[in-house]
Amino acid sequence: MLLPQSVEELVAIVHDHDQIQIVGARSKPAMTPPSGDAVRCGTTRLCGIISHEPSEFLITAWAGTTIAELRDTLASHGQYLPFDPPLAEPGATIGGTVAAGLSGAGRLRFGGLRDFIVGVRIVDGLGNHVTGGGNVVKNAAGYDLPKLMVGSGGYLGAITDVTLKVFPQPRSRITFHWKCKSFAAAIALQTSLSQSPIDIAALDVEPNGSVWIRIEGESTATDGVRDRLIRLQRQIDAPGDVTIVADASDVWKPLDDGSFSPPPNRLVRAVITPSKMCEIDRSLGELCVDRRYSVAGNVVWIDWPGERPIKMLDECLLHHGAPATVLTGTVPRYRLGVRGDRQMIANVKTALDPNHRFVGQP
Amino acid sequence: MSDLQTLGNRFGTRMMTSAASISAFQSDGVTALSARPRAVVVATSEADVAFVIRWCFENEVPWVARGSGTSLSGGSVPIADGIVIAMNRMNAILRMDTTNRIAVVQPGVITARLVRAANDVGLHYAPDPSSQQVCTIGGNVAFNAGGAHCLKYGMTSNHVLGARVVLGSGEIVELGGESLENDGPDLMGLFCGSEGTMGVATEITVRLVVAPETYFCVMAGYDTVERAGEAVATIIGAGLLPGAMEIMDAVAMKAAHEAVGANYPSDCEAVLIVELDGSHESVGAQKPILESLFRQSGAVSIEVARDAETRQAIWTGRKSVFSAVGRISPDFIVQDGVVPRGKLGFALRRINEISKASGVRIANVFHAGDGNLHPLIMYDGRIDGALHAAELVAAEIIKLCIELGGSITGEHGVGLEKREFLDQMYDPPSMDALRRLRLSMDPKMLANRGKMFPTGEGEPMGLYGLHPLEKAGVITRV
Repeated sequence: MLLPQSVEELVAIVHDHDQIQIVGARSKPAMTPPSGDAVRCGTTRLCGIISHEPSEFLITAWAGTTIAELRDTLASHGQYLPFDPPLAEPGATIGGTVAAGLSGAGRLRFGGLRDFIVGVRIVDGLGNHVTGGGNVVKNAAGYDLPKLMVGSGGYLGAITDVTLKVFPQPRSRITFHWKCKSFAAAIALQTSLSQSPIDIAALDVEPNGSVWIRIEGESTATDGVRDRLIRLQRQIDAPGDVTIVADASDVWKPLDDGSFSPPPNRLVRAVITPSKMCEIDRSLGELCVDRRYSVAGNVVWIDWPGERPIKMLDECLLHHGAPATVLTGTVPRYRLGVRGDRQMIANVKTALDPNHRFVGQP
Repeated sequence: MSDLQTLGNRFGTRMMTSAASISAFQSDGVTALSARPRAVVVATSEADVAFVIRWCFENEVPWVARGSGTSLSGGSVPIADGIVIAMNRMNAILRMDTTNRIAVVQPGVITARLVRAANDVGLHYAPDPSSQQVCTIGGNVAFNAGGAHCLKYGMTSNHVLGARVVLGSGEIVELGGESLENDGPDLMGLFCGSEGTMGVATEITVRLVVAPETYFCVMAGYDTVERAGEAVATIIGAGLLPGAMEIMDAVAMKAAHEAVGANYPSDCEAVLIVELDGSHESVGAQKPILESLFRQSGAVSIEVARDAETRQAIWTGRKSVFSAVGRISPDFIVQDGVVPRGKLGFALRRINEISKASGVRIANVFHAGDGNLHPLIMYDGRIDGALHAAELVAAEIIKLCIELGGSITGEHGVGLEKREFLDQMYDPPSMDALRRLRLSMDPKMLANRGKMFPTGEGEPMGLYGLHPLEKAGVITRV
């Protein structure tokens, strides 16, 4: 694997090779399967914070910078990444996180990665170092190349650095567990909560009827929410117990660090809508896989057994009209289910990488 | 001269070519710029839109789609002798889905109407461009419309989940979907804000949120704009995330007072309006913190809106500024630059210096939370040289924004007005990538030709006297 330490070295690699596979820290190894003749080009040596302006709510970092380092730097100034990027513990980098398009459970409140990326630089397929977006939180000039790179999987170009909008870190966090009697009741509760003005940071649901509600903000606010949830419990038809979780890391960590799906199983993230939850759960239940619904029913994380052919999951997702990406393990095709518009993808590929240098799956 | 007959046969009376009927389509929010199209075609379906675009492709005729024509960057000014595709009749709200919290609309739906429809089902459409009573969702998507709440809530692009689009090539593509999340490259994100240069959306899926249940609004007066800017930095630095933060300068305050009777503290160079929003719990917890910060900020006066009427009056004053300036000046240029928030005070001092040196009056309002400036550069078009002087001032301010590391546009887009400045923000390899992206969608450069990209002629519209197209009599200013 080639490990450039500068943009110039990365540009030279692009010029010198017909086929290149961009690799991060491999916290999502399924997204960089064996690449045949393509040379592997790692970004982990292109790392470090380039600039952090706390008063501007902005941070710029090289692609190989770990999420952990970003978090620590921001935390020391009372700031955080509101889109809650997962897999920091296995070493996820910001470049890989952007390429995978991954946000965590906390993206519910203020938006996902795509809502916080304001600038990006890439080396395109012609070997040019290209800038998109800017160094300010609000910018309407030119095309939104930063958003296009979110979820691009190394297929459109090699990300060299990223500028993100950040927010002040909430002073207090509290997680509630609402144990509903059934999955259907949990979905009904999820709907009620999503239509209430409570500022909810994360809202996850499990097939056994557990609903996990994370509230963040000033500590007096979080106390007030507990009272409101209890009042809500009396009003709506979702009886169950509401308790405060003493150690919330038990709740959020398994998805945050990937231990929800330990090897040899494969961690899969599927994108759904709340109205599909019931039918999809029936299918996943028949397949006997662990799953967890996140972002108020917009995402389902699936723990796919290692020995089972991934094709079965692919067919299930196609049937439900959902897209998904396999993140861990090794599979020939890591993009499952219904994919993005072929013509549009072909257009952007022609524009940014006309000679098809960058291997990846869109 | 291409044969319009094919279009005429399909569209009948929905195609207009007479001078009288097309005159309403010749300009947009930038009233100084105008061009005469060959025909205006009123679309009522995606098939109509595709038909026109494909006809244009075969006959190599440039075109622009148009909603309500409220662009403040000349984005929907027709291309001279091109086609205008009027989208206003495609104005159905196709679906309101409270389970998935989305709405699916046709592009001609007026923003305020969508907001009302969302409110009717207990939800809310968050983006609030100040032209929302008139502007359409399609136009908002094309230009990634902003508003006063962008720091916390984002812009239109942060609320658009998917769309059907007819590209300049005539191909129909489906971008995004109905989920808050996406898998694969964010194609919808690329299209939003592409200023009509890639294609036109024929159906748009937006996300709906829950309206904040309560607000807390404070207006403080400062003896200098710098002090108002410092107060913004202090509030941000304390970890608060207000829904809106706006600054008005003395000229803007005077105009608002004269227009709508809004009252402002005397002897203040600037007022800062800060509004918290959200749940009772969140706002209740942040109120005392905000009040305390204001008390320590050196404000000359602090007015807390204790009831809905006072809050409404504060916002009425702020929102009246553009039309208020229109009362005190026959014409004005609205600018839209962005500077890093910490440089707001410096930027305004420089703008004041530019105003004094040139003798051109400028009123200033800022979206202080995100550094987005709106200098309102006043002139009287009846006076020889006045527009030219105003445009020179505008160019200086744009250059100031670039020098300070900001952007030439925060929310109005590049359009026609600022196209010659885009390559001062992006270097040649980046501009080349933008061009290649455009060509991949619109190989003949017919989709809103002449917008966003510099012409290479080096002369922005009218900045140095008459534009060559004006000299040729093809376009005119009103």
